[in-house]
Amino acid sequence: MKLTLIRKLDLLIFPLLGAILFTALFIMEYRVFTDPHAIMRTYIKNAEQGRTGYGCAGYYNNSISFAGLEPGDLVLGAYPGCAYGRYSHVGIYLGRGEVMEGFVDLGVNRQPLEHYRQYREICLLRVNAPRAVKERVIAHVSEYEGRLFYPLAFRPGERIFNCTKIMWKAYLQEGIDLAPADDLWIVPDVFRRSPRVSVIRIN
Amino acid sequence: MFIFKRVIRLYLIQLFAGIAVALAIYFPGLDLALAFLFCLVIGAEAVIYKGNSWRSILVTALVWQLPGLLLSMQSIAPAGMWGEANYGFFVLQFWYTPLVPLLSCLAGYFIQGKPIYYYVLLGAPLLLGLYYCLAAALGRRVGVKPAI
Repeated sequence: MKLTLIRKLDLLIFPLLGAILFTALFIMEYRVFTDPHAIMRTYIKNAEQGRTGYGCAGYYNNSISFAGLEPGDLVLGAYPGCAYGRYSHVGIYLGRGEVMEGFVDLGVNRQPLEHYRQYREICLLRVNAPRAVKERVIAHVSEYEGRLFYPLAFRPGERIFNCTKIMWKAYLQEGIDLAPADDLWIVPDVFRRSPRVSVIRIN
Repeated sequence: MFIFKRVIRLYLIQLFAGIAVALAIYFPGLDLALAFLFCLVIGAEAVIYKGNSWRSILVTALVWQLPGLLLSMQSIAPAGMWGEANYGFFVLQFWYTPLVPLLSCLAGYFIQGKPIYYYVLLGAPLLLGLYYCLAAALGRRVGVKPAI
């Protein structure tokens, strides 16, 4: 009898927990679920048109100039056909030709800035903040190095990141919210639209 | 038939656990608890079944982990052999969403420039399969009476 109960519980426990968690999330983030511009709506709409994930990856040999980039600047890259917006990826410039960003197989890690030339479009953004603030942001970002990357990482939490959460959280620790709108996730396009940034260059 | 039923149950548990854990990531701490629960439930599944000859246990574990095995192999295949390795690893991580919170506890450790969780995720099909077999062996050892 006990084992039969365990058998039934094994199959039911996660559907039940999933339903409870979804309900809790729905109640807490009701506005997101009803917002026609929410990221999940954008994703579903684009997926219906055949766009999935981060788009059509490849090496597009973008010729943008990275001259004048300062630590704390944001580097956005776009592949065609990205399902969650115009831009597929974002990193934060650390200085000396390095970017901190997140990848599924490398986690939060440092990469050479030059690899962004693989993207078809690149946008360079400068956050409107004093240099001292940006130095502290870089320090925060460095603390995240090695953390796990998961594409659906929500805003809360310190263990699981996606590419946008790295710099959003680091700037938020300095009182600068680059993505103040209510949403479960942050996509690179949100930074592009933020009133706290100015565009350095787009190609 | 028993093997088929066991494998279907394991797939259903993994699928729904993936959804529950993905939602639980919004509540830091709760995701870890659910990941541990997933491991407990898989262990319970291994322990309580009838007809658990070694052959049936191994076949169950293999069939259950087959998608993960194929995704792992695609993740390390040379580019162009089976498509983009990075995309394969992407899907592999989604397939093992129930384990993601546990993997996040391995942060900060690197082997040859890659985080240790990368290697653990690649080996997850073998690790989970082994775990299932060990749990089944434990069930046989302590003489758990079969549920059916």
